[in-house]
Amino acid sequence: SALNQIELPLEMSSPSLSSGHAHMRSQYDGSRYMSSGALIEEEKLAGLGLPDQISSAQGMLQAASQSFPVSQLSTPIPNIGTHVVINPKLAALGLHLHFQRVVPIAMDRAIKDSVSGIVQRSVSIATQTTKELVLKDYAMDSDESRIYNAAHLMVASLAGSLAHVTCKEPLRLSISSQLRSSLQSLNITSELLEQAVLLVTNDNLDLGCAIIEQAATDKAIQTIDGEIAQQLSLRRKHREGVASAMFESSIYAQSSVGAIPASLRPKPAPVSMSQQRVYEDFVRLPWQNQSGQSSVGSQAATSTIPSSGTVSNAYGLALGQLNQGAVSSSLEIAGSQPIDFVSEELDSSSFHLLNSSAAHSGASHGFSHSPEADNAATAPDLQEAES
Amino acid sequence: MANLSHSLSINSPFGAAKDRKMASAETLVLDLSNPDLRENALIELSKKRELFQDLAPLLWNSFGTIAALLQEIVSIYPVLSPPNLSPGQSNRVCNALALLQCVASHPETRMLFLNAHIPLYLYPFLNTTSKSRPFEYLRLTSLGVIGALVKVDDTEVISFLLSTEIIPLCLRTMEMGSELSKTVATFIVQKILLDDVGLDYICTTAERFFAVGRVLNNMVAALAEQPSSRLLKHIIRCYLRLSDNPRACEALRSCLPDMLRDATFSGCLREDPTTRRWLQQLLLNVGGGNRVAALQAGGVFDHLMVN
Repeated sequence: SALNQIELPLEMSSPSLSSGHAHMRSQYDGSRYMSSGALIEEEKLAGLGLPDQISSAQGMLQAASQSFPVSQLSTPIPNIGTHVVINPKLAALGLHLHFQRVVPIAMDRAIKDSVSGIVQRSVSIATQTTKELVLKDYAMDSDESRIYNAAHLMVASLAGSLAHVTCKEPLRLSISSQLRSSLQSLNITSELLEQAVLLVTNDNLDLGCAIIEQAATDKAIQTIDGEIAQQLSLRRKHREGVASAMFESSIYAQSSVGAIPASLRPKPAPVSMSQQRVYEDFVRLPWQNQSGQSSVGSQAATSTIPSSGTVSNAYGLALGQLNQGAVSSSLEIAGSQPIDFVSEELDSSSFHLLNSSAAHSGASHGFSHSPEADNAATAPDLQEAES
Repeated sequence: MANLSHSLSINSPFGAAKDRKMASAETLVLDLSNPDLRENALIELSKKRELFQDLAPLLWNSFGTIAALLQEIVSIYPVLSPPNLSPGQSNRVCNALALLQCVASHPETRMLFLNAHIPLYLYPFLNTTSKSRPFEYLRLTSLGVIGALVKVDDTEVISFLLSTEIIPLCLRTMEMGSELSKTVATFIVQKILLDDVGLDYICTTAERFFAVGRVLNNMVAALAEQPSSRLLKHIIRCYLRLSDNPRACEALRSCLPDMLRDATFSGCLREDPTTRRWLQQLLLNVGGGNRVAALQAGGVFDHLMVN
């Protein structure tokens, strides 16, 4: 269910935080030489512009992590076993049964290994972008539900996209390495083992990415309201306390807006339907549209958004459908059964449940494996590069 | 429409064409928000962006334009890995990036652009490794946006880029990019180094210094095979700036490539007195306290002057 999806181990206990950062580094660290400066960690945390978002997200995660049922600790990604793909070719290798047992565990560990750092970074960036752009674009619109709606659409898309693109390579390394270590006890040649690891990793990478993307999307939607609420309340006070004419003139005075042609200038009026469409188009940008597999799902989602409906419902519906498209497309490839994975509507009650029942912090899962970007920085091949 | 003529100053010598151009800029910016008209608007606007002087504030302040450009960016994330970017997709997103470069360059919009964290959406592009032309073009254009940010010397910009770990991404391009990409990436590293915050950052740990030093050395070695004066210029400026830091200067004594000490690049530098002077200063800095090196430096300098 959607709720279960949210219950990924996002707790920010220090081990997972640092392993998350290790991932971020290995992801961006083409040059392995710079990969382990403790200073990078510190500077990242103090990173310009990011602390606000990080601390607020952290607070939320910590609050959420107080009351995670202990029983959930061993199965943070429920039913992953029914979604993993065990390639039929493995049967020919006599490894089918073994993989059926180890792949869900390896996936679970690999995802937990990557998820918190990547989600945190993606959400923090997407939140900041969304806050700045939505507040700018809707500066003259007093309909807050429209503003929240636009912000939800944008932040979900941006955070999900960033998380997906960022997690792919670290997750690939992590899944492979989890599989390798879980197969060590088997008496098979290393060549065969590598072959099997590669096969299974490729088959299941998209599933892992989709789960992490979903986690980022969920977290982003939870986070954005708090980020823009303060600004909106200031605006409200301003509107109520000051003559609106003065309010508008102060907006013009603040920026270069006055120099913008009338047709492009934000107007002291509700944003039009056609303008609103730009933000609604964020729903059309799911990762999984890449091969057109889920176009039906996402189009349906777009058409269901009322331009000024209740925010959580409008968004929840869109998101649920979008992800149904997303995950079913990745599972269709695998030829598995139809699923009810993340297809449920993500409404406000699931957010509430998350806050009251989500992850337990103290017990870090201790998966501190951090794959190095050991296959990255290859020697420059100038001949080829120049050609 | 009355204030249009004030709002957009167009570098057009033809007064009559002026109004039409301004109107077309305005229309094209509006078109960016419409998915059906966006592709053409991207082409036209990026082609004419030099003509529209105040395009950046227009892009930033108009409703939804930046959001639309961000959609263009994230919509190609799925084809980055496995590498599957078509030339058409690459062109389209590069047109969007060209408009963002306007926004990054303009003094009125630069900090807004940074504050919205938009450069970070380009990092996945810089993290790609495919050497095909669409990817090469994508990396080059993305570096152009970052280059536009660092062009003006602003510590805040440098701090932002450092905190988001731009250096490893630049180093990656300096190792595997085309000559042009390498030049832009090296330019970015040079601008970062020229800021005190940047120099401190890179010289704070030996790892960081050697990561940069090693990539610079590799580029020097590669240049001996395929010379490029403009790339060499930025490399030498990077070394020279590194030599301003005492510890880095000490390290350079042993790791500065010999090819910079001998006559390997004298032909390359013949037309470029500024870079020759930088190299001379570098060799003096590095050779400081070391008679032999100082003499060598003098020797190289003489040699260069003779040429």
